[in-house]
Amino acid sequence: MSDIPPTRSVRFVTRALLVAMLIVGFTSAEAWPLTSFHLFSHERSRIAQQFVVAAVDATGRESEVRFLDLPMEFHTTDLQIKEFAGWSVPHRDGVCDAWIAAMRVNPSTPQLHGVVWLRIEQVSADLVTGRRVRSTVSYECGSQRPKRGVQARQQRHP
Amino acid sequence: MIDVATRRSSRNVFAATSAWLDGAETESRAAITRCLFALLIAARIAFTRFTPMARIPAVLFEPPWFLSWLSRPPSVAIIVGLQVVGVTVAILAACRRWPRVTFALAWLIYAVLAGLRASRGKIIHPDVLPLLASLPLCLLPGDARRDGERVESRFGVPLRTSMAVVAIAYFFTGYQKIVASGAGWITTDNLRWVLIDGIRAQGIHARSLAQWIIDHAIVAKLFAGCTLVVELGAPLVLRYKRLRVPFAIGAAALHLSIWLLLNLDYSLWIATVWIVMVDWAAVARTVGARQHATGRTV
Repeated sequence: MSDIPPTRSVRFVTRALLVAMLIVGFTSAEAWPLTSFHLFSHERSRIAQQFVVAAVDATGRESEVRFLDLPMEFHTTDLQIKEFAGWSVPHRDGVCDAWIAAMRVNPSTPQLHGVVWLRIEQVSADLVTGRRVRSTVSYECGSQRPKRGVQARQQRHP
Repeated sequence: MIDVATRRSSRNVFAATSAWLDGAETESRAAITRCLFALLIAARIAFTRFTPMARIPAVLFEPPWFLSWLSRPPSVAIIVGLQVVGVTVAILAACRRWPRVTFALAWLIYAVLAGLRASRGKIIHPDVLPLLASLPLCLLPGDARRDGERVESRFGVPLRTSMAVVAIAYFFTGYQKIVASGAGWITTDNLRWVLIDGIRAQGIHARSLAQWIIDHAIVAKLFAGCTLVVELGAPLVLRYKRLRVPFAIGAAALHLSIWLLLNLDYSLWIATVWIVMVDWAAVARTVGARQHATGRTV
């Protein structure tokens, strides 16, 4: 029985898919669903860098926000904080206002219902003691945040 | 001199890989693989909550490139409509009704719905492997039959490309660990800190097992080593058929342990590996032959 080969277009498309995967993988690019497959690739240590989001109410009281407690459509959106540095202040305020609107009505987080604005800080957390050391980056955001001249700032903590 | 030798050997590798990709496979194996992917896509579309994605605020909506023309997520009605059509065409593809068109349409709808879940600022990996590995099956000829016996390369190319996609994906998960962390990914307390962070951050299914691994550094390092062996060794399954089932078992063990210890669901990766790496047509033939023999003996 003689073999029937695939058409040229089938060969081209299948090869192109593999080549695209190799290019994306070796260049660490991201073009979902083409991805470079960075899954737990960075070595962890006792100190973990993370962003901590605090909801601040009208009295100045702060409550830490867990994004997994918010509705599903907000899960993982906190990862957009990494992009804050490149965003304009109004855009950051828009993002924070969207989170604030969700916190105010979310039934599973009653402690966040009075939120007015958000304070976001990058911290280095000790995984054993739980002690947190503030890092250099912090943001205050939300259109109703207190106006202090510098509205979204990068601070240096000792 | 070395340059010439290196060039020649890389040309040989390229030629060998190309020849392997063009190899023939039985139509039954290719058709069953497409059928299983169609059922997987139908199940994923039917049982995953996609409708909450309609409520992603426009300012937080960061769609992948192929959905970048959307300024906000589609409405609930559109998402439900896509799910209904997606499940219908996926089932039609599994039943071999206009398989090329229905499978491609099911794949497209799955890509859009999964893309919506990936529009929240994080690279969502669970859908990546089934999406990429099933894409070549869109090109499988429509006349491939599950009970057919033709052995042709037009059935082989899509199937083998699908296997290569899986091998490349696993290889890169290991490769990126080596590039980003070097040997330290295994030799340091890296995995213990991953588990400690996992226990702290989210509820996990096997807390006592995680704690036991954290308390035994050598076990954590062994676990890290086995992970890299499975991932970096994946391309070998293309060359050595006998490694395919052990690889599928290793990948399943890896993802099950990740689910137990970190509460991350990679069941779609397990399903994809088993669909692609196991010759289900041969399994069906063997089971059928045994039943036939048993029936005759009785």
